[in-house]
Amino acid sequence: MDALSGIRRPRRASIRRLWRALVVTGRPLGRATMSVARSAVTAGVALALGVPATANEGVNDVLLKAMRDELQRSMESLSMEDMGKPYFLAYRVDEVEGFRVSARFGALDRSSPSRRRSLSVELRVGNPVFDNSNFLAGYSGTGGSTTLPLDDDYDELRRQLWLATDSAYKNAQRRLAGKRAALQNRTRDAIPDFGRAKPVEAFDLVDAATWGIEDAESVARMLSALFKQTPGVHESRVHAEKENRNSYYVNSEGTTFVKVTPWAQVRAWARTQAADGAVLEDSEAFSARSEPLPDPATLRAGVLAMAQALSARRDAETLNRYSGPVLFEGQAAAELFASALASRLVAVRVPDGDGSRFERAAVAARNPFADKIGARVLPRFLDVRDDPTLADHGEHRLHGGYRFDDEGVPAGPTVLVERGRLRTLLTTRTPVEGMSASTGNRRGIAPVPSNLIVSTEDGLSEDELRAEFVALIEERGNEFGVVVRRLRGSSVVVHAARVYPDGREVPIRKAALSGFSVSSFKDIIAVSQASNVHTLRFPTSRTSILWQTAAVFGSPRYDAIGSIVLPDLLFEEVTLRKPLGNSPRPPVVAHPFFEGTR
Amino acid sequence: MRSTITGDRKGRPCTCLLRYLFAAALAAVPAVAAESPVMEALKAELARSMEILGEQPVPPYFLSYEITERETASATAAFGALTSSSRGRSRYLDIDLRVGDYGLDNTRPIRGVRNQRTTVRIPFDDDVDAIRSVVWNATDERYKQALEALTKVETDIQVKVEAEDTSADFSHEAPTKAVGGSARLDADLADWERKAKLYSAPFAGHDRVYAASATVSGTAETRWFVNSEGSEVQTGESSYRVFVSARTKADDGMTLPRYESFFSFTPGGLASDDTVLRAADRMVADLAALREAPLVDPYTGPAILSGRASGVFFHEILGHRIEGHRQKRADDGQTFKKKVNERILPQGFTVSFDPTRRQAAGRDLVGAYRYDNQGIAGRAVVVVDDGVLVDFLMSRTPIEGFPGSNGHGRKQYGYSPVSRQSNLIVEVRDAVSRDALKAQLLAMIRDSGRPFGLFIDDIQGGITTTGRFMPNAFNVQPNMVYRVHPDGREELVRGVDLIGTPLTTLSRVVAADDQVAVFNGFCGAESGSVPVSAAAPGILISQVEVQKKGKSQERPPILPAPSGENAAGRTLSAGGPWTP
Repeated sequence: MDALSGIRRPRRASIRRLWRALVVTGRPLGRATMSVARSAVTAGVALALGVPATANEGVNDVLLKAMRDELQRSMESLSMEDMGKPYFLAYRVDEVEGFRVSARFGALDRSSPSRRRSLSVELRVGNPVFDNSNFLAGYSGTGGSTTLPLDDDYDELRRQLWLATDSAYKNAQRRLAGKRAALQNRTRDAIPDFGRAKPVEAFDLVDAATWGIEDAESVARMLSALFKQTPGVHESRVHAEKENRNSYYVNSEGTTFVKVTPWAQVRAWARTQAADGAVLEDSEAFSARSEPLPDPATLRAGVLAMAQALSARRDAETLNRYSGPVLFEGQAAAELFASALASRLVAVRVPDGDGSRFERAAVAARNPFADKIGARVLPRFLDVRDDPTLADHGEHRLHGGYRFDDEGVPAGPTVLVERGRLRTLLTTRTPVEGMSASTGNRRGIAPVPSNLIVSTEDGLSEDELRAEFVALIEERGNEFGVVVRRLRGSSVVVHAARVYPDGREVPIRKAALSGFSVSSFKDIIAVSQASNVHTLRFPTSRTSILWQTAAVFGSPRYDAIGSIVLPDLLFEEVTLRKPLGNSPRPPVVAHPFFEGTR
Repeated sequence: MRSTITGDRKGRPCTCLLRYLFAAALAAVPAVAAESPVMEALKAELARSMEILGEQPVPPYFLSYEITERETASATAAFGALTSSSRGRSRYLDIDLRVGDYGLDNTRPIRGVRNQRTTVRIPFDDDVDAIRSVVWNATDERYKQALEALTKVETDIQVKVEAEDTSADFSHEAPTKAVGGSARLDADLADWERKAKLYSAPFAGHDRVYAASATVSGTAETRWFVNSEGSEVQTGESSYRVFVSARTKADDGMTLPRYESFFSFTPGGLASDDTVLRAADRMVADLAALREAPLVDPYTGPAILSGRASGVFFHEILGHRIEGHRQKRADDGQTFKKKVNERILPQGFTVSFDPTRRQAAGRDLVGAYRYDNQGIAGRAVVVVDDGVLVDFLMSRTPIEGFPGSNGHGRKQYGYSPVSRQSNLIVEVRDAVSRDALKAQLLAMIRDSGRPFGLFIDDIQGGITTTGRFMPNAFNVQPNMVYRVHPDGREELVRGVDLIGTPLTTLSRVVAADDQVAVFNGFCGAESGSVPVSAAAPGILISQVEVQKKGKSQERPPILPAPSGENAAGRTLSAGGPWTP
């Protein structure tokens, strides 16, 4: 074997560094139309030809025409010897325009505008009951994803569509044959591979985010320079990012959609060490769609507060071990719910596998909540629904909304948990046991929550919740309780404090949740009346690994941004401990900017 | 060490990869009077770190900083349509912090352990405070790693057998003071987009060309280097490049690629539109001919390598094996370590590496530089003199009998420097004409009773391993190979790779012609990807071996190209005969 070290291919010019102004021109403001295509046929192949009946200003007709023309040709003629033609074909083109900017200590270290256009092909052979999807095999290569030209060059778009379709078709046939071979000697629960959907023509042309890169650069410089005021912070960085995603979709059932998904974010990150070496980190983020981000004063205040709180934590007390009442407030409640429970609310199809290794992988990825429909997963006073049609909650913007999902299925509210009992899971057109219809939640390659609303009719006022908390502490004979205000993932407690019955709070430096699981949510004792609204990237990795392997297509991979609305959560008993592992030594040399100031 | 050459930008995950040039080089830059904020920040942190860390129980004996700034622009088009266009700017920091002493320090390779790449992004705004804060943080981290590494090194020495090469870890060198200016990128991106479209457009009429793209790109690189021995170096380098690539597929599934690359230190020095378009037309004709070319079976016999092919041949087979640090690693093959003052090539063959040379055969050389990544001035090194091995390429890592650097300590940002090649120059005293060389080939074919010989005109890539645990061999992948029949007729063939072992193959080099050609490319190895050149004549080898090339099992596309159905009236050749 090769004995020399660390040899890597040089990184290719990052696609994110694409320059040039955005070509996606003046979108009509806030216009959205949707109609069921009249020419649609329920089964077999139906193709909407020519430009959509509802002409939409700003829709790229050259691109749509190229997609439709190659789709029609492929459905009519693509076959190899005695192998069948595709029964379903979908093209999705994502035009992405945006930038990533970052700065440290007032100076830019990154400013990368990007512009790209990519194609994903979803091609199915066989029939909806048994096709090339939902199969894990030892060979890889989904085929059918490629980069498209930025120019609206009909011929070149057709060429790339042709080659990607050819590759997807060959791969689909290989997978179908592999799946047939793997299953010929096994019995199988006959859940169909692909569900029905009504064809639609839909245009969701919301405003794009108009944030300019120069402005983002100055915001990043301005906010990162705030850390010159916080000697307790060793390392910091501010990111400013924008992404406008224009998605064009056509499929062989007659569905066409075009949608615009804007996104902008400012995020500050900071890191320091306590005197004993404990590494402390924190971050603060502000998100927007097409509306402007908060004004500079609000951003400054948020970043500075985070930085000062981080500095203060260096001198905070440590918590060795604690079991007892814990109140999760604000971001911590949302993060806990999103990271520990949200991934259980989506239906994961367990694919068939080619060999025991893959069978095991498939079963391991199964969502246990699929067996809990009708069972209690939360206390009786809590309801949960997913609602992509909401744009706001009170004065807060929600970021997970859309009018139809990535398969063109119209979006609508789904009641997931009612009075603590699990009613259903979020689905796509890939049926799972007991759930044959799509709830319209496919984003990228998997079902993902949009706006999760956790609601109650029995919420307590702030004072009542505090009183309940104190009562719990005293009932257990504990000296203090713990309030968690910021959490990272499902276990890292970033911000927390001891709360004494007299209301006094003493900050805790750093802690971790211990032994917390999905069933812990049933131990919620009380919640607040007031709701918190948080925007986050829903973790999709649990499902996506399986999907990538089992996929029939190369779908665009992007972070599914969503919002979560929920009250503060009071748990009767949660265990916290000191984080595991050793800490590095504190810096030997002092920070050059603060040398002598501390 | 395993080394791969590819003409493709998608090389395999390998260890050394020499690719057609994608960027880089030197441009003379006027000196500036005021000290740059970057240099000011580096000097301040260097002094502070050496002073304060110097009071620690295990102080650093050496510290250097290098900041690499890259300003880039690039436009790519496929079949006449723009696919990407971008500009970028970045700065990265590299730190060499050594504890112990020159004889034994934390950088000594632990036998069987690899180093990791670390990249530290530095602000490109000229803000001294911001740059210092990042340098400080990275230095602290590096110091702790160095302490840990030194302990491991000391243990490793005790538990393993005595090293064969007992030379020191770091050479003593005089400090360098050479502060030049910064490189500036001269990029007209709109014009580059036009060129990229123009150069890739000729392929659009050919339905069996399944991929074709053209990239016009430029890079301006400025490096600031300081060390605790008193060196201060600032250099600015810019480079410009055109890269055209296209591929087709034979009916048996074999992928057939062609590449053309043009490089210059100035945008004005790049090939004219006419020149590139002529090259594109030739690529189309080559691809058409390759599709029809017959396959060759495994064969051994005489061959001529054109200048471009022989440049890569020498780079891989000789060049990587005379890189100094490879004579020291216990797991490296050390093919030439004990061959100093022995003949390894025919009399009259001289091989040198000269980073100070900027041109050969009328072409700019991308492997040129003034100072290496250890602040040592690049200098010409003759490694084979009249056929006899006399020297190695040296970084500041000494080997037995070669205690000092000769300015070949090179790296890509994020890596630690090792000895690497620069501009490889092969000069042959008794060079003959191409015709005379071919006459010698024909004579060899007749004398040996072989049915034919080979002429290897261009290569697409290759692999070589220099380690001890895998065969110490090479595999060069030509893409333009001709069968030379005894009557002198040349016939294009496909489907073979050139294979062999270094000592045997070098001993079979017999003669050279006077047609010197230049290969500009990138070589990737354990210190990352560095620009290198090779200027060499065509050579005659009395015996080479070729083996079957691996190939894709994927059939060509099922449906004809859509343009065949398009009323716009483009070339309709799918399914029919090839019409270049």
